Amino acid sequence: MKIQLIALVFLPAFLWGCSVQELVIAEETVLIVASTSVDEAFLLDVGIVEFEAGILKNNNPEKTGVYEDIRGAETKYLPYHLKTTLQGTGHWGAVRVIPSEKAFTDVIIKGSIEKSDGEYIEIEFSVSDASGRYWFSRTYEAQTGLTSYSKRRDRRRDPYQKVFNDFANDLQQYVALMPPRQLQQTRQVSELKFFRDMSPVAYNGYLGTTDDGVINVLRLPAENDPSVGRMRQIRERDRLVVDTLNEHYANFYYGISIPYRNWRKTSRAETVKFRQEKRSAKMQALVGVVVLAGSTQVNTNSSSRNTRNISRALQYQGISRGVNSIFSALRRNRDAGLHMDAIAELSESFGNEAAPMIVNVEGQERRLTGTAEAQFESWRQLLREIYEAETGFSQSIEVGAPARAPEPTG
Amino acid sequence: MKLIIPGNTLSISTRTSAIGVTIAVSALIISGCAPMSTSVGAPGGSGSNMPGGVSMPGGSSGGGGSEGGPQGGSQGGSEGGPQGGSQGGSEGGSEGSAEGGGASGEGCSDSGISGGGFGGGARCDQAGSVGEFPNDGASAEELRDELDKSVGDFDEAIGEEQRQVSSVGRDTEGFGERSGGGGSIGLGEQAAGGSSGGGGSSSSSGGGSAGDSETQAGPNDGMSAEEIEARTPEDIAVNTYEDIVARQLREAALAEDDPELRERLWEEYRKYTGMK
Repeated sequence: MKIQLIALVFLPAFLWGCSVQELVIAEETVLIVASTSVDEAFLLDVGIVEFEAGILKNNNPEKTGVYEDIRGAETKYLPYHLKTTLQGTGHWGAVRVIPSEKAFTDVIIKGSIEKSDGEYIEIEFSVSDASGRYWFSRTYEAQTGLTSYSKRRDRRRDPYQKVFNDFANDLQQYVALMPPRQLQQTRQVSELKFFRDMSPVAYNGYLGTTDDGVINVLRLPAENDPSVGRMRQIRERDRLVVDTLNEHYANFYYGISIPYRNWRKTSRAETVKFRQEKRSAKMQALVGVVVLAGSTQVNTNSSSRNTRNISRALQYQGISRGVNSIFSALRRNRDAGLHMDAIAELSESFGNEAAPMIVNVEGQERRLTGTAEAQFESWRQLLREIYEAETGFSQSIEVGAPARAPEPTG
Repeated sequence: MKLIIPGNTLSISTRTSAIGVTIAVSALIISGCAPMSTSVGAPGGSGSNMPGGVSMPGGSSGGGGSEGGPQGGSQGGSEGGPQGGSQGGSEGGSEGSAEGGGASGEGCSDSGISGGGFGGGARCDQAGSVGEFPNDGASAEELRDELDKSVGDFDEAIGEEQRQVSSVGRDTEGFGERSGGGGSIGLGEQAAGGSSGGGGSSSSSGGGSAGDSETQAGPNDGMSAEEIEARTPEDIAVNTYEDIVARQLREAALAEDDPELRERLWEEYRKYTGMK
């Protein structure tokens, strides 16, 4: 009996010692980089579309932990980081963040942020190419660790780096299995799509579509065709616009980097503490209930007065400890709630800091793309006029069957 | 004509429409003329290749006016000269039509015979023939020049934009060597390998060679040998071959400033490597 009572009294202390702090060492993946330089003819240009925020319609930030301003920032920050990762591999041509998938590039990457709270990251990536060929779609996830936010850590290695490296490696493995001819054709298709967009009348017949919806090259323009030179000249400007836009993204990326890192770091710490408090509270409540129940079952009707007194004293002590444990568990639950409040407060603060930067970069994005669209439209008109002047075929006349005025009859 | 939009320069051609109106009016006035049916040797667009020549547009169509007729071709041609002739041609046609219908009709016919192509004479029937472009009086060379100029203006505008964007200071501390302002962008440059530092990319496709990832510094880079030794417990070798997990644990422990946490990380290291 005595042993039972002693066990009940000291059980909480024992279980308390069992609840150790979490120690997570983040997994990391080594990024596969090109050991030798790859022939430029087989390097595909990559466009990373701004990520989707992955926010539910009736999102309640306090319940989901998803804050719109933060997600808004992540939709621009994370693709830019992916760009830096892919660029560092040497397996790709120019890698750019693009505002929409309308851009003319060889490979298009789309991403949707499923989860990002500083501790866990989950992004769904899907990849396709200019031909409309679907490559793959996969969800990548990672958990950050104790040292992911270390001050000594190289900032080029994002705390979420594992996700980017995993994806970059998969992408490289996919492209490595593609026949060189297909790589070349993908480049040709994206170029001809741009040509066709700029001058439909001249370049409509160069591309076709297979039964399964894949765009293929029907014929190629002569390399010494002056029109090709003009088109490439304009395409360079198209790239220049996107590159300039990427400089705005870069400013945003570096501007938001430290506050975003701090938010993630603190958010992670608070999330971990919240989880520990919750776990601890559950454990304490359980112990309290067990001790309380055990204490009430103690037999205090011993014939020996001395034993009876000891039993009663132990029973009181047990009941007292049980009740205290339950109250303590309730307090811990409340403390856990405080961690959630801290996350909410921090998120709002960071969201307020990020919002003007998001507005700024989006404004630049709209201004630049709007201007470029107007400019390109005027070039389309000019190109059409040049085409008509050079060939005598107007846009309404089918190429190969020029309309002629009737012979004079008189 | 240039349409200036704040921060940008947009070149929108309105010259085309002005000339088009002239052409249309002249075409209406000289509607009685015979349609030009003769095809020209080189269909259009060769202002640059055959400047204002006898056989080419411009010169011939220039004869559409009252002075037209047989002389039209050479006269217009010489006037059109290096501009490729089409503009000269249409102007000639307009003048001619203004001076007199009958003559212009003749000129129109002649112009077609002697070269046809780009100008007012060719507009007689509004139907178009080889070498003619129905809606414009400008030569291909002029249009190309206009395109080049427009592209040049655009480059200037974008250049200004880039100067502005790169003037924004960036806090790139901890991102490696490349720090400071924005990356440079240029036409035809190769993509800089691993340009995460400056954020600069380029316009043309080009291989970034293995860049940052290879040179990415570990968390303990920059730590002196003495510091590493001081942070490593005596029972753990400072330099030893180990797998990636052990290395990460070691790096994490070395990078940790809190002695208590550091010791816990070393404990994990010992457990993982079987020392304990």
